[in-house]
Amino acid sequence: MACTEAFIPNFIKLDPNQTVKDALKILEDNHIRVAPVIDANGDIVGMFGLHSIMEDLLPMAAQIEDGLEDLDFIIGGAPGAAKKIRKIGPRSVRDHMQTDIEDLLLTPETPLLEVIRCLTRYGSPLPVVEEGTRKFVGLVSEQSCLHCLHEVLLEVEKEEQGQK
Amino acid sequence: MNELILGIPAQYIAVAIMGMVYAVIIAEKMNQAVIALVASSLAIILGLLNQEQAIEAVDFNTLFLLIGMMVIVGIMKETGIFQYVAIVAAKSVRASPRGLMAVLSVITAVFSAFLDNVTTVMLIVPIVILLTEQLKLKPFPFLLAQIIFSNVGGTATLIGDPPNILIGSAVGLSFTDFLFNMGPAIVCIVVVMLGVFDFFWGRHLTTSMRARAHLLRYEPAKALKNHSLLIKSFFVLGLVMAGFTLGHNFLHIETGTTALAGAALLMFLDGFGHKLTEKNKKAHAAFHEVEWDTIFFFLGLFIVVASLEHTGLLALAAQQITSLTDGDFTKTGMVILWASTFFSAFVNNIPFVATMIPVIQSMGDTFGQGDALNPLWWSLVLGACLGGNGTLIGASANVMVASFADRAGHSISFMKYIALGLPLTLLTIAIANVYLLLVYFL
Repeated sequence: MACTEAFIPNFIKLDPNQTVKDALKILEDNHIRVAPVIDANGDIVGMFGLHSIMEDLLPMAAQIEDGLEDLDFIIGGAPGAAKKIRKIGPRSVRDHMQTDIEDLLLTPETPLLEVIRCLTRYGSPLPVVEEGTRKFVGLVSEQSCLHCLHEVLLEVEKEEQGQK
Repeated sequence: MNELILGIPAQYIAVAIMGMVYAVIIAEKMNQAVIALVASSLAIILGLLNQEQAIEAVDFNTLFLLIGMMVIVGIMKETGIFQYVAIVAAKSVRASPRGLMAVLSVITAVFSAFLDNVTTVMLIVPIVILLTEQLKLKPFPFLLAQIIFSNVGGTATLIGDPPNILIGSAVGLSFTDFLFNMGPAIVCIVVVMLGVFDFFWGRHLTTSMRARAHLLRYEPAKALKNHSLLIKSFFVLGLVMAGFTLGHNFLHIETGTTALAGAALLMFLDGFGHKLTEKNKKAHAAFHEVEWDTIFFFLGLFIVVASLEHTGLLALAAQQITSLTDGDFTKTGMVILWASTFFSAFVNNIPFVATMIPVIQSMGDTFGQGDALNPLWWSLVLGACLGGNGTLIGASANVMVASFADRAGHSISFMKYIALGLPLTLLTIAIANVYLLLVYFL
């Protein structure tokens, strides 16, 4: 069974030139945490979500690789983080999306077990692109995968009953 | 040794192998440890030295000292003590930017004297980036200070910088020998550099009272993570320092043994009272802290240098240097100081020092053996360690700070660094020069 069987039927796409404020509103209205960012050519250029915004709220020293691993000692940092949200709001999604998405990309031919492995390793949802390109074709998520497996189970049970 | 190997004089082959190591290190096209191992394998396979001679050439005391200290520091950093000290220091100067620059510089110099420089900057630079962001200051002068003071501080002790470990182990100079001979020079250099940094940067730094007030609300005690491990770490570190001084002088226990024994004791104490799986996990994490590529880089290098030595080339180089300086002890010392500064600014100082050790040892025929050569060793220490400040690639700590700066969006360009780092290096070497002349040569 391939990846296409587990696609999310309806999904939200974002434009890289949208403002962060508008993008966050879309995520909130649709009760989702992350969405693919697709350019005018239909290519995926990144993933935008609450997680990447959360990271941007941290001091730079905690964002960087090998940076600070805890900030317990900073007291009263909330107003500073709140001000950062105000500062980030008018900026474009392009500046705040996750761009290192090479490992996240699946293709329509990716087998379902590999999709599950990637979901457990990289989180959900994951984008699916045409083989060898960045042309966006859909999304798979943990829910859509489980739904797909549930359908498979129903079929298996039907077959087993038929054999009896 | 005037042998021919494949019809080529052995000396040429030894030089070509060493040249290959240097070329690859400069070109940064291959991992340093890999090229050192390739070169040492070639030296053995081509018959420049046999396997027994190659194993004999490896200075296990240096390797044990490096491994032991890497494990101890790796376990200790989990306690948060380094962040704690930096925050306490920042609060002690009421978060004034000028004071902050001075205290962070001194902390880095002191930590670098007792820890590896790269480890020191890895622990302190994230805090520097945090504090400068908090105070809305440009981090560049603070990062520049981190580079300069880490290399300066590392010069002061036997364990502060790998060249010192190499020299101390090969020559038999103790921890106290380094501290008493290099310590005064380094204190002078630190004081002068603090003044220079304050004059050019510190006194011009300003920030808002609001930003300072925010920083003053930091609670350093919360940076401390594992009090029990902290006590164990200080206990073991105290024993190791005692071992370096008393153990070396009275019991004749080498520093490598002391450091490795300290690492073993700390790993034992860290796992004490835990289940076996947890003990194994902790031990695995501790061994993971050892930079094995550094260890194998040293191992390969010892063999390559020994192959050069076997051909008689290094003794010849020593003769050339002494004839160039007319056999004058002072001139020889100054040549070693400035040549090692120049080399260390542009290439890794470790292979240079490893090569220079047998060269200086060969000078014993001219200048006398044992302690008579010590002024030349101190010239090499000061030149090789302080020279690392000359360029952005002069020392691993510089590269590490530049990498942090880049990740934080404050890139330091090679030329921008050299414009400031090189004059500062020349100033430190000038001070070192005066110190050497006054204390050892005049």
